Amino acid sequence: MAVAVQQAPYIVFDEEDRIVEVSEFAVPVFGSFLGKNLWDCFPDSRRLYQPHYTEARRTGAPVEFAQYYNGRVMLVKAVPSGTRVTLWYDVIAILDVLTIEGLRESLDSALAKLSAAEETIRREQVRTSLRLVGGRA
Amino acid sequence: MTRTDDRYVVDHDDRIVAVVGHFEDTLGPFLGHSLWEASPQAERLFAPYFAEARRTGRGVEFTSFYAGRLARRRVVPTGQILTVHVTPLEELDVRTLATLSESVLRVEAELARQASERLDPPARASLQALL
Repeated sequence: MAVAVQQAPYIVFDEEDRIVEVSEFAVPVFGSFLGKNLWDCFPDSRRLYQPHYTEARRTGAPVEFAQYYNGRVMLVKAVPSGTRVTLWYDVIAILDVLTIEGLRESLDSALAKLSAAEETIRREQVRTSLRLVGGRA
Repeated sequence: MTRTDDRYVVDHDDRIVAVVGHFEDTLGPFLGHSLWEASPQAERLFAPYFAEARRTGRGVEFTSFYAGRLARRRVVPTGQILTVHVTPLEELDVRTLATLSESVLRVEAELARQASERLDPPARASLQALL
């Protein structure tokens, strides 16, 4: 379930959360926002995403999470490097808003995928903690 | 949502022949093409009402959810040509799970209200008596 970083699109933002790099596959979504502040571009997303980036910067360790935003469920991996953060993402579900039946089905599917992804990430965190306790990290 | 002048016109083959308001952007590029080509999956939702309007020669009104919005549609026939007036009622807000949840509830409530209104008065009175 982890974000396949070799294939996933990514962006990099600096210590002031300005987008300073956009990978080729992220251009369709983020290309026009290069050089701009992430939260100016996506103000509604701040409270959903920023705590994870703050944690990544604070701990210096990658943070992986699943999040719904703007009709999509994404697996996100935030990798800190100094004050910069590289954000890999993978869209795992998209809402179908064409018809009410499509909306209901895709909403059920998106929420199920969100829960499954959160559970997988949680289990992986527990495994990592246990490995650390067992001295096998 | 106060715009009430959005409308489009289709000919006897459901080809788009005129667009006004919001539809200039969405259906305008499809002038001369079938409405069903421009609006995937809309045919099974709208076509029965179009057929009724053409068959009876009278206007038909219905409420349906399509492409992220709930709207009331009034189909007015002139022979086999139909003018479809569209009044938006609710719009889906997909930004966050909270806004999505709120807007889905509003859409579902409006659909339920419309379904209830479609019941004839005696049937509604019977249902209310049961509650």
